[in-house]
Amino acid sequence: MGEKLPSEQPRRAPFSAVWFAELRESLTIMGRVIFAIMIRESRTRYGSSNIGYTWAIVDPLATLAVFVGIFSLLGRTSPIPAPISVFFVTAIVPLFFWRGSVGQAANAISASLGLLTYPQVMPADVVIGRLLLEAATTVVVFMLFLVGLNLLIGISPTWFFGDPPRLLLATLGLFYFTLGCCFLSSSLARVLPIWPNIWGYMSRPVWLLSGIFFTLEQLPSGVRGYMAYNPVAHMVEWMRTAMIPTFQSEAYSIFFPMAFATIALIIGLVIDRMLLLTGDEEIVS
Amino acid sequence: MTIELRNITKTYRSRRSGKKTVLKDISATFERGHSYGILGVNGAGKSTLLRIICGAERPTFGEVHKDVSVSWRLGFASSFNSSLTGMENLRFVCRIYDADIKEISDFVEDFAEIGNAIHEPLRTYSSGMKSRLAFALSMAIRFQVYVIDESLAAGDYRFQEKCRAEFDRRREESDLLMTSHMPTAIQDYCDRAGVVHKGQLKMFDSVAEATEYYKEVSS
Repeated sequence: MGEKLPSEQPRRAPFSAVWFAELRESLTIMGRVIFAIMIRESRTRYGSSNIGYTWAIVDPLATLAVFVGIFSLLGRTSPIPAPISVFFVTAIVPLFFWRGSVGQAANAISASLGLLTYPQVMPADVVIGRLLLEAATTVVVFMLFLVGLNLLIGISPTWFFGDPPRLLLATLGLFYFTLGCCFLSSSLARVLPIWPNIWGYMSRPVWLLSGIFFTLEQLPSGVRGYMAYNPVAHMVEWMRTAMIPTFQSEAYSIFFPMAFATIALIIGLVIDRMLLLTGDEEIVS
Repeated sequence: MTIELRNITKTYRSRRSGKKTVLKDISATFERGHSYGILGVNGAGKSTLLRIICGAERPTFGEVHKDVSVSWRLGFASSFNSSLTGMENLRFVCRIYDADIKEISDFVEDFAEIGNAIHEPLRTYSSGMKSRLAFALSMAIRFQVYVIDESLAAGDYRFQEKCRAEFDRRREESDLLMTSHMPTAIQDYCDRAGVVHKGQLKMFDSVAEATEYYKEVSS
């Protein structure tokens, strides 16, 4: 016999050398799995279409162009001292990213049951893989839009990089906010199968109520009080102040959306862990 | 010690039919150097047990300890995406197992014998081609224990012979763990066996003893 049974081994003390080695190993596996999922997702999301993932870039680009085009033609004046296209793009791009990612997360697990039968693939990997892919797509879309605006209507890209350090912080903030929402969304979908549909209905008004057409600052204080319950509106306002050099706002909070994201993340992870520990998971075959 | 099951219980919950306990407090050890067969009537819980051993599913209670690499269920193709090509599906598996894509694809192209179809989307495959691909891929990645659910029913007769020859060649390095409701299928490959009956797993040192017990409980 001689061999030690696993139960006789001492439990790994946290922060010991063995613990760190194991942590590093599991992070390596996780990175590998996330990378593989990103590549797979980029191929399958628009699988039936010939142009493949290009569609993921064309789709928001077209929507953005229509939005900006219509409002420019209507001759709406910008509520802030910046061109109307700058005003829209600074809100639509973050919102597209947020809404797209959370929607993706809602379907992440049910669409990946086959993958989850590989022991090294965890639900969180699928959610993170999809989120990173969405983030990469958003960056490309944003860059293309900058170029397009510059060439077509002569909007200088400097309109979007008002305060680079703050922009970096706001972008990280947006990523964290979206991450939290994604984990909540994917976990909700697992205990509440109707969630993706609910999200479909819910995300439409959120889309309008989050400040594409107005800034928090210009609202009368009564309405602003209600709007302030929407964390997404705070994120949009934060992104706008960081991007647009001529726009400043005191009406948003950084703390609120970050706290919201943290709570969402915790709830999402707790549900995930509970399903894992009880083995009460979705079965594919 | 290779694979050790400790007090495994698995309960499924269904909105329609309530709780159903498939496996009750199972403890067993599968030793290195032996190939095991698991017998049981349809619906006895063989596949559930296998999924738990593979890590495709977690037990409701209890633990699984493994100090060997265990394959996924051989020929199991539902992790494949039908809009991806065979090669793209292969690359995905290589990436998550950190296997060399070139080496694996060479082996699979040679073993699966599906020719250029490997560059076609999986939805164009026949079920035989799909299971050939899945089977070749699981053979390409070196595992210490190969898990087979319900016999080696992949492909035609010639392909099955090829699989059998490949397993014989692997005897030294790899063991088998297979389920069946037919004792004859297990006799060919395994030297030990267990029977899943009424949520319990009873292990025997020989296939003959297990077969006898299986006949007793299933009739």
